[in-house]
Amino acid sequence: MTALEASRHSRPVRINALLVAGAVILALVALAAVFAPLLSAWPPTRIDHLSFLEPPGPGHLFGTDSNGMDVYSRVLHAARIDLGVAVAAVALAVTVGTLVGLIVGYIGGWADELTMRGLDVVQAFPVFILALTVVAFLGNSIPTLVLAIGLINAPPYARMMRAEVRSLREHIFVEAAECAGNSRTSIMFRHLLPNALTPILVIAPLNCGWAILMLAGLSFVGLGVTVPQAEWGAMISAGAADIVGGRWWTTIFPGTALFITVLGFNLVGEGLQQITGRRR
Amino acid sequence: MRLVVFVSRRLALLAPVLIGVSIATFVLIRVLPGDPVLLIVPETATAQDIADTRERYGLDRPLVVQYLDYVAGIFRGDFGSSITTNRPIATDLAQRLPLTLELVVLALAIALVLAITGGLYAARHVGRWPDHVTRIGALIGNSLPEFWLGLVFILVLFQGLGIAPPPTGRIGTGFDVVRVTGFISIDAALSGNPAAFLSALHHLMLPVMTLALVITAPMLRSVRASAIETRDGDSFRCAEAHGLADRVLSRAYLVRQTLIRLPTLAAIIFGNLLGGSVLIEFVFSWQGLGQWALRGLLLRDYPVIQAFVLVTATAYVLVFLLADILQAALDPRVKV
Amino acid sequence: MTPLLDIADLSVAIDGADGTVRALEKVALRVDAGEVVGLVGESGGGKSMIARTIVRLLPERSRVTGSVTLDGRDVLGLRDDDLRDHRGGGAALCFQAPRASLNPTRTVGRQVVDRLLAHDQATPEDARQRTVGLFTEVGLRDPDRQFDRFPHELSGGMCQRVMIALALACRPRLFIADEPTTGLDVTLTGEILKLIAAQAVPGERGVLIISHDLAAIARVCDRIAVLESGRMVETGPTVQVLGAPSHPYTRKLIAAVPDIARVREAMASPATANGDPVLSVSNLDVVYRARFGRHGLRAISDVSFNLHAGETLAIVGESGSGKSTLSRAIMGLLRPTAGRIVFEGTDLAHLARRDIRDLRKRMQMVFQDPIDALNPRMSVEQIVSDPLRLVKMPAHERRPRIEAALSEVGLEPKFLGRHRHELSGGQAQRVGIARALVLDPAMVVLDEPTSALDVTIQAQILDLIRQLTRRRDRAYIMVSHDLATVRALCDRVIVIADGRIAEQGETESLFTRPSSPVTEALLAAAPRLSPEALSMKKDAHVP
Repeated sequence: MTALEASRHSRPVRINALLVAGAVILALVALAAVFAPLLSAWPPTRIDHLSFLEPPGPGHLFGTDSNGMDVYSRVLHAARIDLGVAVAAVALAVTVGTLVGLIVGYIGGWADELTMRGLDVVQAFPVFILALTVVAFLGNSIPTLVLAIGLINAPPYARMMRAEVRSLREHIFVEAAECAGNSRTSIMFRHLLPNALTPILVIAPLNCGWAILMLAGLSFVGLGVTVPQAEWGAMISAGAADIVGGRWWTTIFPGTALFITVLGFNLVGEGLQQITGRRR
Repeated sequence: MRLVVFVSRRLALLAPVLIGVSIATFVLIRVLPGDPVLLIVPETATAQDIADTRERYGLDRPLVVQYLDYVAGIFRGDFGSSITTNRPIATDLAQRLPLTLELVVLALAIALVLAITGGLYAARHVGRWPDHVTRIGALIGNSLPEFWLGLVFILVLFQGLGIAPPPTGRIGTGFDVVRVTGFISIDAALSGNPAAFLSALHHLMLPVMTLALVITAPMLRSVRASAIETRDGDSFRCAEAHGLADRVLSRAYLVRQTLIRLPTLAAIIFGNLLGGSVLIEFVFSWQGLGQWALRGLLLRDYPVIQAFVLVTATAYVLVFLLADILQAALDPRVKV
Repeated sequence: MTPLLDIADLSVAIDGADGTVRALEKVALRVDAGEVVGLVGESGGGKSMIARTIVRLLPERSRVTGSVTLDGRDVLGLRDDDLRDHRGGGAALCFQAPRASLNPTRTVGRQVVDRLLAHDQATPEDARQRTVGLFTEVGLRDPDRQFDRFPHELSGGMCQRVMIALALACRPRLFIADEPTTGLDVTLTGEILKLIAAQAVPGERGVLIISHDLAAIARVCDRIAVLESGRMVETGPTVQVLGAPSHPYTRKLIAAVPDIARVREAMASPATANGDPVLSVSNLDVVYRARFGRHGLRAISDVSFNLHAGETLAIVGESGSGKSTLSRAIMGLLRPTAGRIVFEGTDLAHLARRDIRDLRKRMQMVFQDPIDALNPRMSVEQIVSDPLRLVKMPAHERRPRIEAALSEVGLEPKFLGRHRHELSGGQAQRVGIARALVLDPAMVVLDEPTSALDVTIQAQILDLIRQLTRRRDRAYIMVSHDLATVRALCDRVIVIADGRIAEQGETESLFTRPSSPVTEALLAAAPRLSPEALSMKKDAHVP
């Protein structure tokens, strides 16, 4: 079903269980991120010299890692970087992709041809490998990570927007808008963009999930955020060595947090797809 | 005939993409900040040392000449040598590529079987429990970080239950398998040593399981959704209204239309697998292409990175070509 | 004689998320073998629901009461093998939108074979030959070649014929055709309907045709059943239903058919052809650009005509004749290859895009698909005010202008905040007309303004247009495939075929003394409900 069909039959929005579940999860994660200092007794990078790799207990709720840092506090504080980077990167991807797709989709011609061939080449690289390479060279500061993850995720949005615009262009109301005297800019931004945006905004939450996984993956192999900064992927990486000794808490807690957050985004994405009639 | 035309057209379209890929790979590594020469020379090097090194690696010549040299080298099978180990890259590739392929291909095959059977089964029972299980499973699978899932498997199945081997490589220690094909399980089978073969399979268990579980999820969802869409569509309804037998209905009017979109999705998944294998190889000390590349990335060993990116991108593009051909075979509407 | 199909007291209720919809209420319908029954009514009235009930393809959450008997068998109680046998063998449904209802991944021949084998109408050995025979029967040209083609390689008319062949392959007792003429040309419509009607065989097979188009199917039906909002309001022999309709809804349907024999309403004053024309088109050529070495498609060649203020001009032709291309060229939506389009003294054929925008203050267009012509994200107020952005106007003056335009098309101000999904087709078209009038242009092009609407709505919109054209200060161009609708509205007619003007002249003289065979064909194909037309209908085996 196209965006138009979906909006044509916009029913009263029914409460969608997946959407609500996802929103609750994300709200909790966001609250944890914002109030992390209040929720944890230990600062995330403070070293407790009396306990290294201590199992979960009353002193350290989730135990301590091999550096003697409090895992609970770090799991909470990590939400800041993980959520922040993912949301900022996806916002960047959506903005860049949407603009490029809208313009080349509407004006067509050689600009379109050239852009699409460029995207072909960019998309010939598996995304995570592209991310690894770019980050390995650009460095791993937070703004660089946002930029790299954002730009790498932009091409699908450009394609989606272009396809949407090209199919919208076949609709009579675009011709009607031209007859009514709209300029090309006004047709693009007043008439096409609002109608083409729905599928993109529906995908964005899913993309936030992938972006977090990408960031965590980069950190896991040592190319993203690095210890002592608190980030789930980096924490899992640091804890991986302890697993063989049976010390599970340094990986299980950050991993679960990562999984639940991504699940939250996926639930929201799936719920949005259901209520906009894109999937059953 | 139609497919022959199609394949030749697609092959012709492939060339510019591959040229673009090779240029992008080449340029990417040179325009990004970080002078590779500074990584090669010792910290005490003088300006003269640096210039000498630059000349030795041909980095003082114009970019175009460097590029052409590079491409000519690739056609001779010469990817240069690693800056850090001095080993020829082609040798490393030949040794490590089969290890990664074994992992990736096996995972994809298992995932495809799971996704197709599960998706069709769920679609047949829409709204009942097999469907709910499938949907929840797919949601979870889509949200799991593969590297963490691998670690959880190690924790539970090796550390806890002891049914999996330790995550220390491709095959148990003490087996000396003569390399024939490079694919260890095949080589182990060829060696006539059943214990070695079993050990090779045993070591495949966890990493393949991890990758397969994670990539099954999106394909499962897609198969289920398009099976439902096809079944509710007019062409299926019309065949149903004309009283066709269930067997003909599902074979000719449901399955084929359902699978039309799968090849393209599977190709995208293959790309994710190539990326995911870097993480999984890291977890299981697999010593495949991904782990090799990771070392290169961390040390900025640019010939290694260049070769890795080029090889994966080429593999990805070729798999996409394969997917396009499959899709054209399934769907007569695809324009040749 | 027991009827072939007997529906009695049939009610269908569908439970949805937004409550229960009563789709059918105590419907009774009967079809005898050898008989052609037409089931008419407007879209959404429940016609397809009857067809779906007969082949037992209702949505899962529907509750059915009453009885459906086909050939003595209780259809609603059938299970498994009996049901499969009944579907196709008992009643075979020709789906609406044939292209979408054919399997895109299977050759059309194989699809027919599937049906033949399912109903033991052929052996694997002679299936191909039987299929080719069926293709010949339904009038597919070159039937042997069509066997191996896929639906996307066939035209709409061919797909419809294949669909008929699919249903016939099951050798049904009852042949049901759901809206078989949607999307077909007038000439093709006649052929397809004749083909369908010919499937009725006394003692063997009955035919049920479902359509919203009373005029089209009346010609081939023995009896007509009229359905309004799920209730059967009238049934009877065609001549009786058309000649002496007893229910107001039937009368409304009949009145809505544009009748070619109806006398044209006298114009308030004859159009004056004095002074400079508003629009002057001369030697216009439009060639669509060639792709990859093919020859360009010549859509319009050497078209010339003038349009004066106050005049209403019709451009008539079959689909594909080039009439839409012509109207879009006039509106500056596509650039002509050669020739001049002079609007109020400016040749817009060679004008820059930006300068054409200036002309749009003076010329506007109304579109064929009234819903799709409205931006789904905009309110009626935003849509109607869109052209006002061309002129500088203080905000407080806009609202009265918009309301005036809406009242001119008969819409109250309460519509201002609505979006297009809250409008009916007729209301949407009124909004489209209001948008065209809000700047008070000198010329309005109406591109098939009624062809996408239900018949009763068509009449209302035509009335509105008639009122508008009576004000003699504005020029109108009405593009249509239907001569009947333009006769009552237009001063002059241009008949266009293959991109050329086949004939042009004053409306009445063109109707009474057509000089071109194209005009004659169009006149002959127009639907009519006059007695002489009905007597032409095949009535060889009226029971």
